Amino acid sequence: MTDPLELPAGEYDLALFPADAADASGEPLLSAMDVAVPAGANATVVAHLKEDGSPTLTPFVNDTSAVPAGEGRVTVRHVAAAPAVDVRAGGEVIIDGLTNPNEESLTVPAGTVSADVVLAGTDTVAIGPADLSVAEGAHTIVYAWDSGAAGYDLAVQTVSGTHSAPSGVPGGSAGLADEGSSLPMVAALPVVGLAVAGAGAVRLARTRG
Amino acid sequence: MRPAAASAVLGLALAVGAPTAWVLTQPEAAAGIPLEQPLPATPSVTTRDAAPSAIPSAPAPVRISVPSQGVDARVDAVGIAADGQMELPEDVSRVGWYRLGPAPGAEGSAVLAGHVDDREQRPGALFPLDDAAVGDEITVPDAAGTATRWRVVSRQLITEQVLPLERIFARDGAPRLTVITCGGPFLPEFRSYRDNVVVVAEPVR
Repeated sequence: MTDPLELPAGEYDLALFPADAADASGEPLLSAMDVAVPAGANATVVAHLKEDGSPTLTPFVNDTSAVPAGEGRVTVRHVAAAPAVDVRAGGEVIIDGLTNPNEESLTVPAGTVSADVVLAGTDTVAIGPADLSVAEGAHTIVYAWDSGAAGYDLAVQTVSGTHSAPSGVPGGSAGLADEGSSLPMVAALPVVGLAVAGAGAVRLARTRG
Repeated sequence: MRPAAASAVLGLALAVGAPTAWVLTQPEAAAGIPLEQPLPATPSVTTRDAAPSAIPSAPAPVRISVPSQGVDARVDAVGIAADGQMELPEDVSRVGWYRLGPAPGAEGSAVLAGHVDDREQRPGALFPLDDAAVGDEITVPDAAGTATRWRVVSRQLITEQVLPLERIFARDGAPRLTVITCGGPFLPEFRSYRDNVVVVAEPVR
């Protein structure tokens, strides 16, 4: 997998060449014409096998919208030369009937899950089980790829920056830190002081008189 | 040769020669390799292994101390409570570190928070926080045995409803430490305080 590439928005012709070919010469192995890259979009182009085993290029748009704090988004993309599959986490089917070249997303609490891929509607394991880390506040994209002959496998891509802040920070419950609780005392002392001073003045005036 | 013929030949030579010489002495429009090669239209990309792997984690903070305010407390890594608020340790003598955000010293705002008090347990570890002064030093040792040192640059009482949560829990920008507890007037009908005490500190260089 390559690291992300920032490109100006527009339409791109994509072509895939063998690693030993001179720059952009000869026949591309695969190509995709006029692939739209809208401004602000985040996309992944996958070179993979179709269900029948022939190679192809498929662009996927990556969801970068925020997820609630404490959670992560998981997307599974079926790019393997295989029929429909189910994805199970901890033995339970979380995605069913996923076909090449489609994807399905869900938002789950962050953490590590043990996941496997089975042929749709069966218990025949095609990939895994593998421990998948679902990063908090990020989009974890899992590719089920390759062919039955070469052995199916998983590839993982993470798109970060989809986190949210908590909804608040709780505090205390006793009221000890309330500075306002000393306010009645602050108000009462001057009243007491004035009363004492007044009484003193009255007595002073009487003794003089 | 007659002068007329001589001038005709000379004129012709001048008419053909001058532009030819001018063209020949001009620098070539292109030289060397095509610009495309040293200045590619698309930047080069790096590749990495895409096999599933565990997420590396930074060492967690284990204590917070503010010597000038007599604060010295153990720190627990906490996440999100069921109501969507930041989780805090039940024990008011301990302080919570928001483990889903940055660790102290990493890019962004590392958040440490604790209950200011509790009906049964009395004042909490961060009770003196609303007396923190600009310049007070905060030390946060981590599980790996190294400590980050911070200096208070700001203390503010903010009504809980208008707390700038996105900025307090920011995961980018310069490293900073944000310490939060409760304060302001106590609202007995809600058994809670109206405000948050927010102290922001910058690294000591």
